[in-house]
Amino acid sequence: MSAYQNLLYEKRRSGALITLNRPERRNALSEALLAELDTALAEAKDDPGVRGVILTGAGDCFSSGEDMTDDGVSETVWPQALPEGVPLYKEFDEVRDKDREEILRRRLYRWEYPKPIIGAINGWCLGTASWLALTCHLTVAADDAVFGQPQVRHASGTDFIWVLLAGPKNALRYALTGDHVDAAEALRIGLVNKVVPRDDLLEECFRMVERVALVPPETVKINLAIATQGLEMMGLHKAWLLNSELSAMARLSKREEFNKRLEDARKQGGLRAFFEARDEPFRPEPFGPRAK
Amino acid sequence: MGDYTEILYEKRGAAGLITLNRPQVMNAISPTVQDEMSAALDAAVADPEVRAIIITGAGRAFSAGMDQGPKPGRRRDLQWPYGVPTGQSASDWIDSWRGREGNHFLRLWEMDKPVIGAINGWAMGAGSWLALCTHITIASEQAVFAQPEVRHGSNTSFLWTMLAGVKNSLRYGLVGDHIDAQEALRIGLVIKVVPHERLLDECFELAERIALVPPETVKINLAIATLGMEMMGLRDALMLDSQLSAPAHVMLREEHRRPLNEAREKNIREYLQLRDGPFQPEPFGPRSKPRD
Repeated sequence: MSAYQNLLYEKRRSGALITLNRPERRNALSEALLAELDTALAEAKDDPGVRGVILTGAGDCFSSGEDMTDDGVSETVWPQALPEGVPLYKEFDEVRDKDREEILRRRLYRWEYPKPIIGAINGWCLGTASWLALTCHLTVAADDAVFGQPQVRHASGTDFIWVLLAGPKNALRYALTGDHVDAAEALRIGLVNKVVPRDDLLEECFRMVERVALVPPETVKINLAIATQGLEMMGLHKAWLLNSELSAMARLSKREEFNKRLEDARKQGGLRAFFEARDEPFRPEPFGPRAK
Repeated sequence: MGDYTEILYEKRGAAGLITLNRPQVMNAISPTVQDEMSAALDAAVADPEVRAIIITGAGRAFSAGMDQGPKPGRRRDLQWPYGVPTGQSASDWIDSWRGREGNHFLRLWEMDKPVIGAINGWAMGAGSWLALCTHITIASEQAVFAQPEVRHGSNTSFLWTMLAGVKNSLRYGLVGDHIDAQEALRIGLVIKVVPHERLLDECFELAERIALVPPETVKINLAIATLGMEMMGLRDALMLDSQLSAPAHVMLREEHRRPLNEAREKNIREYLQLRDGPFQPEPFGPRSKPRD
């Protein structure tokens, strides 16, 4: 059961608990981790003893999002804002393929999954991790959870799941600025089902799985499909398809006057300096737990 | 009738006739053409005597497509290997290509009065799209349809797929090959091919027949077809189309694009020869035989 390097998989109380397990990197969603998540979900799907999947993060956060480890990051050329010597067509093609593969294909696999996936969100849940958390069928937040898409501050896209759940006004309020949202605000705007004390988080989710397990699996599967595939029919599939095209453009949309400062900071002080340079002008976060 | 400079608008019987009138540039669609066409369409809609609108081109072309004259943001001085205009960011370059033309065609598609395309000659690129989004399209035997712009990095339109089906539209959309009026009839781009001198008469006769049906009935029957296709997904497909046009135009490889750009700096004829030479003779088009 422990063929996994980047996550923990354990069966308990009718559920499969999948723990993103790279605490030293705040559970950043590397390709290796996402590939293991595919495998773990396939394992849980085929196991009749598993009636629901719980997805959580090891340590003090759910996940910081996209893995920005800078192996082989090459110098950016301005004003084009491309890696040195890399033509736009190549960069564009790679980014589009990546968005289609990592975001869209995996997203739809989880969305159409025949057993409920419950997000148990502890601590930071940022960027692509917020998309992972919000596309779970049910999402329960610990009172220390923080949602945000700060990556929009350095040229990256938001995701339509925020709009689906919170409506265009709430979603745009946070997506246009990358501002943080605490658990109570997340509940108010519809991102999560419930907020519970940190210590009760997994217990709450397992209780939910056990209640689901009282209903025949075929019925659960059909009722899931009524909601998830119904939303796809309503247009969600199309919105995500468009989203994956727009995401590629968003990632390539860098300007010298906005982005060079951040990259210079990164060159000098690494990722920590990059985040500091990026997020400092936005502090205090008006709605987030870091407001004070 | 109106102060048009790049089109002609006249009323004849029950029809309003719009003639693209830039024969010296094969009726290329300039911003002025778009504005004036829009104004003429407004006039035709407001005029109860006009029961159908006919669109044709002056001279030997219906339309050569989008005007290739200088436009803000759409530059050709690409800096290699990046494939981005000198001094510009990839961000600006991508933005300049995102979704501009779609609304124009959708407006024509949603007209309350039938629009009849009288395709008198070359209908290339966006000129073919204009032809295809008329509600009823009749071709002179001299008509030629093609999207040769795909050969230098540009997009096809879903209108071709809607009318000709996936296989036929890809056969021509992937390579830009020309097709003559008969092939256009066979694959469904047009409903009839007539001798060149009969073209306008044929369209006017059709307009008179339409005028025999109450206008409210015509309007509703048009909507059943046009709005029905939009409900079936046409609107979504065109929206995706307009976004995909950005990557199609900016994902340029140096080995393909650079020689073309350099030829274009010298003269347009050399450019077209370089672009289209390798594709000649056009296997299905009227230029498949050596020209005399």
